Formats: sequence, structure tokens, C-alpha cells
Amino acid sequence: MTWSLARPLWDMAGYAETAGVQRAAGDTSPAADAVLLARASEGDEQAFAGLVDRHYGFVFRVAARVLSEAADAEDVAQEAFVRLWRDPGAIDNPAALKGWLARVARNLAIDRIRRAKPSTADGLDELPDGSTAPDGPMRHAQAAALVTQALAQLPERQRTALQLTYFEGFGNQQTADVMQVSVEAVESLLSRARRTLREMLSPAWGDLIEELDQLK
Amino acid sequence: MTDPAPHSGVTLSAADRQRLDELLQSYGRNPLRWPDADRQRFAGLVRAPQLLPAEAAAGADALDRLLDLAGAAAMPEPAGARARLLQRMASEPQLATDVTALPPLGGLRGALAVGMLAASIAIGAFIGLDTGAGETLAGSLTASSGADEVLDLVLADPAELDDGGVL
Repeated sequence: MTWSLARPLWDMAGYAETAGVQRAAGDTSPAADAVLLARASEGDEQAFAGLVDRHYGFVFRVAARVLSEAADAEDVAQEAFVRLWRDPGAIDNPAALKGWLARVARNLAIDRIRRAKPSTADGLDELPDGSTAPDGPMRHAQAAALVTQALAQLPERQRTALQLTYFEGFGNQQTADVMQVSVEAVESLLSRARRTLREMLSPAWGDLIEELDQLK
Repeated sequence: MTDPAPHSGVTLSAADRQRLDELLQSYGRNPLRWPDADRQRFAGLVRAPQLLPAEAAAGADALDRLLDLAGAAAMPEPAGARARLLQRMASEPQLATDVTALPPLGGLRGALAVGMLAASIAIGAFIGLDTGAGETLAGSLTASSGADEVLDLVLADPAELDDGGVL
């Protein structure tokens, strides 16, 4: 059996018991994770490919928000899935798979940062001036880049809380579970993240709002 | 003190206003992003959005839209990343978790296993009941626990501590 996502799962010939896996892979409900995980824990490679298909993008984004380098984020996402493959039994509750993957990816990413530069992570550097007055109004891409850069400079915990709740749609309890903090702490991190972003973006705030108004 | 909105039937207490302000600061302007309990508590605001603190709501809305811009421009997956992962998986063994796959214990091996188990229980009972070694063990565990706390402090990222530390 060779691993492949190049072809859809339902197009793989010579595989005896694909019907359940195919249905689960195409199903976006959390219950489908239980089916795929159970099959993967029996060594079913195609079921595991289904899990990769469903969750790789999410795991990559969680890692990318912490690391900001695509190659590093790919390494971390890969390692998180390798750990899942080696020991699918580590997931007690299949409904918690996504949270488990997020927690592993985040911890791996933090380890990587600490190994690379032990004491300088999360420094709040000054953002470049977002104002583009000499060239006219701020462009859409510039605005997006400026906000992305500000996000990247948030302390890791604030950034991860925002990534999980705002961008990934996690509830605050789910985020608290991933980050191993209380729900109150998550809310506090979110509040500080948004306040810090406002402060970092304040020099360009007027231009950014103008760009948003043009997008309406 | 409550503040009714005309024709909406919605009233807000001071505590409601404070909570709304916190929600806007933490979760943004869209109630769909608020915790379930708060969304239900303020469901009436759908009919009376004018009760939201105007300045805080406008600021939260602007930041939401900027975050949406950044989300749309998020770092794309490197091309071929999933294929590389699946290639690697092909050479990764799984942990053997199926205990039923182990050969059955019998004959001499079975007797040996039962003997080792009995010896372990006997040694445990001896340490726990007779020698006071349990107290020594408890003391060393306490010391070890303290060492863990020191280690946690040493390992803590200063930026993390600045960020509120252990909440």
C-alpha cells in the first residue's frame, strides 16, 4: 500500500474495506474522526490519510502562527501527525482529536522556538510605519501584511488564543484545554491580544480603517 | 439601574453593560464568536443593537475586519507538504498496542511471571509496613516536587512571565 493523496480516496483500487473510510473521510463531523481513528489504530493507512486530509491544514496553521516560517511549521505539523500515527491510542476521546493535535503542534512549535533562541522569543518589536501617505492610500495587501506582522509580534500565548478562538472557531473551553489554562485565562489572553494589536496598529489605524471602508 | 431600548423590550443592567464591554474586548463584535452562555444572555440585542456600547462596538468591529484581512492572507501550506508527510509515514512503525497479539504465557514462562509478581507485592508490603522506608520515600518525593517547581521557574520563558505568567 502506498500513501497518496494525489488521487481521491475512493479512487484507490485493490483496497478491500474502503466504504467506511471513504464515508468518514468525506464527512466533516467529529464522529467521523472516531471512525478514522479506530481504523488508523489498527494500522489502516488509508484511514490515517483521511485524518491527514481532514486536519493537516488546521495543524499547519496553528504551527505557523507560532513559528511564522512555513518550513518550520511544516516540520512541526509533520511531527504532530507522526506522533498520532505511532500511537493513536494516545487519544482517549476521539472527539478531542483536533484539540490534541493543536496541543501537540503548539508544544512542538514552542520547543522549536526555545531551541532556536532561548530568551528573545515574543519580543515586541516596533512595527514599520504602515502609513503610505507618499504613495496614496494603503493597499489591501499592505493592510493585510501589516496586520499579519502585528499578529506575529504578539506574545505566543495571546497569539495562540486568538488563532484558536478567532480563526479556527474553537470555543473558549476548547482553547483552554489546548493551552492548559483556565477559561478565564483564555478570555484575559484574548482581551490583551486585541488591546495589544490596537496599540501596535495605532500609527496606521486611520489608513487601515480607510482601506476597510473601501472594501465595503 | 437598567436602560430599556425603545420598542425592543430589552433592558441592560450595569453588570450587563460591563459584561458586554468585556465580550467586545475579548471576542469582538460578532456574537457568534461569544461564549454560548453570553450569546444566550444577550440574544435580545439582535433586536436592539443600539444598546451595545457604541465606541467599543465600533472599535471591536474594525479590529474584527482587520483580523479577517489577515486571516485571508494567512501563510499557505508549502506545496507537497501533505505528500511528504504521507511518504514519511510509510517508514514509521506504529506502537504495538494490541495486547492480544502477544503470545500467551504458559509453562515455565508463566510460572516465572507469577513468581515475579508475587515477589513485587511482597517487597512493596515490606517497605510500606515495616521499615519506615516509606517515610524516607515520602520525604524524597516532597523534595523532588520542590525541585520541579524550581525547574519550572528556570525553564519559564521570561516573555511568558511578562505575558501574565501562570494564570
